[in-house]
Amino acid sequence: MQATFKVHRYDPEAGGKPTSQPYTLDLPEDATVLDGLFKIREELDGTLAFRASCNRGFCGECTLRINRGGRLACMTRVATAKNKDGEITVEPTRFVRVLKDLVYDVDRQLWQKIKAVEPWLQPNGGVQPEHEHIIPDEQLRAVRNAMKCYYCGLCDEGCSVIPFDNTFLGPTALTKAYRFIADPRDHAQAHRLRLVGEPKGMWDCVHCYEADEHCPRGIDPTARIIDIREKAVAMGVKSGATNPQVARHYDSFAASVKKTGWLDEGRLALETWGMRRIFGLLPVAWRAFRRGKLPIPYRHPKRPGAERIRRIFEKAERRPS
Amino acid sequence: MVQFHPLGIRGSGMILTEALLGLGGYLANSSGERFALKHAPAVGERAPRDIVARAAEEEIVSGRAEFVALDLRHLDGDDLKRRLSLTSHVIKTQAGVDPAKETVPVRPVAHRTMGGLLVGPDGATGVAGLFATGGCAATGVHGANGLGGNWLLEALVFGERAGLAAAQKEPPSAKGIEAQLEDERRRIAGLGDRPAGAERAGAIRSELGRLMRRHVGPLRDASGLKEAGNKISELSARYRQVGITNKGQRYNYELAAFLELESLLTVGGVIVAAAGFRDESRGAHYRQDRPTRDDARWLAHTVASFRPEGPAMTSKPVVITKWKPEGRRY
Repeated sequence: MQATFKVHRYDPEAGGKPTSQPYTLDLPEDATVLDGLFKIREELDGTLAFRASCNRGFCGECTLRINRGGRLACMTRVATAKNKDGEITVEPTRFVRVLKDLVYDVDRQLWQKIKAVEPWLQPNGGVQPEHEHIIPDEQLRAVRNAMKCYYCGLCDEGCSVIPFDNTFLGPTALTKAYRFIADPRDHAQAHRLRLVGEPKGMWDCVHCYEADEHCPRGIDPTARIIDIREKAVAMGVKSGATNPQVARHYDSFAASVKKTGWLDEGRLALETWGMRRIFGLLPVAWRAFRRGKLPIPYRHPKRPGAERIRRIFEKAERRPS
Repeated sequence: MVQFHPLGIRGSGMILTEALLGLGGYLANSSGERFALKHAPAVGERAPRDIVARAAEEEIVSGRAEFVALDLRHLDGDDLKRRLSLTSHVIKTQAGVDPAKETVPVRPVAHRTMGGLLVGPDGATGVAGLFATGGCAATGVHGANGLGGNWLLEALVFGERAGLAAAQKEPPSAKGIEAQLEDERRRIAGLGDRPAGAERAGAIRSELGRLMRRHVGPLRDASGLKEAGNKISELSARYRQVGITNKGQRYNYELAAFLELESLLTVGGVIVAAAGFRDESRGAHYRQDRPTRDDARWLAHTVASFRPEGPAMTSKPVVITKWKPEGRRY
């Protein structure tokens, strides 16, 4: 089988501009993109740099953009990835600092964000337990699933927020935070939730579910982010687990739907931000007004069926959480 | 010595856990026969790793097959998934088979080393100030047949000893180390000036791999080892013709591959010479031309020393205290 690899080349030592270099090669039918890259380096061009380790989808080292999508090169078959002209585009992931060709700065992109969530167990104030801490299997199942993460960074590559704000912690680091927040041996839950509740943390996730689509380990990072958000709200403002604005946002949202059957956006903004800070939103209101999205006078009548919605709320509130 | 693991999966060669055999998995040859029972009638597939690996290799060689079949179809699939979820995932993604419906193609693969740099009980090597422990060291705890999990124990026990010993030792003079580093830096920088030769490191490495697989695997004999030794000399001569096209200082994988290949050829040569030197069979080392264990001559470690012309072989007696070697019957 013949395929043409169009490979991103960049050598800061040589000072040149990034280019895309085509290599045409013969490969076995079942070859992976990583097999192709090795063949290029060993037979065609010894100057090509890329990272790889286990060669079998177990380490997350060869995360690249293949045909403009995040993939592990070792788990992507050439036969299925090449287009009808037999071409495959291979690039580093987006928004990274490229060190050479397909090698990029993982430290800045990933490890610094993971370090920010304090990825170590913080047990009970250093008190030596009297006996072994045995945890029932069910309690650890969720944690174990998150522990399957090998930091390939594919979920960050697929993330919808990072393209707009690369300082967003991202699904990899937030999944790591979840791993400790959900660990029954850890005693820093409130502190951790406060940490990831800061701006650029879990509340910036737009739950587009791209992370879950990209994860090769079946961890579902989006679901993990939603888990820690729910924990933060459940632990509440008093414990400092969540920031007051988020809590007010949640409360106002629920209260307005409960009362009128639909979301009162004016009230939501007012109750979330408070009287003083709402003036900061005036430009948004002005733009909305100019596009006819802000009715004046502002009214928020009850929806038909609002009574039924209220009863649903009351039923849910009676149920022990 | 090199240990072989019976369950290298088709494709990547990644090993599957022997727990699959412990839970009752069968190994069968191309005619569906459970061949392990011929070698270990009492325990079959649950025999020690070396016996099962050797049995599988014999079936592959005599049956001109590429693989033997790991049969899990008679086991409770849900239970298997629950207990060994990662392994089930590997079988699906690597071999591309459904173990509930099909057999899994496997073959023996090189696994771990039993031996390495010759060290004392505190990890000290023959080089002043250099300590080694774990898989790269020869502490002697594995004998000729390491048990699963013992490498971890070895690293824990001897890692602590080596660490403490190294911390107590007067460090060698920084000046001497700097000088050696400078020599090495100059040598590596000089490699970039090699002319672009006719040979490539990747091709030689692949050939070395095939050669070791053919002659230095679970089944060995004098003529195969001799051929392997000659071929390694040839490959070493070709290695000297390998040029380096990449002159860069940054992420120069071509240079790394070049340096690694020299080590592979050196260590490969040591493995071949040691297997030829030890003319008996013991544990993972099996000579078809000398199939029995010879305790009279070979209760000894094999010691290889570096010589420019090739490894020099000697032996060192094993100190036996409590556990005497016995016959192996399964």
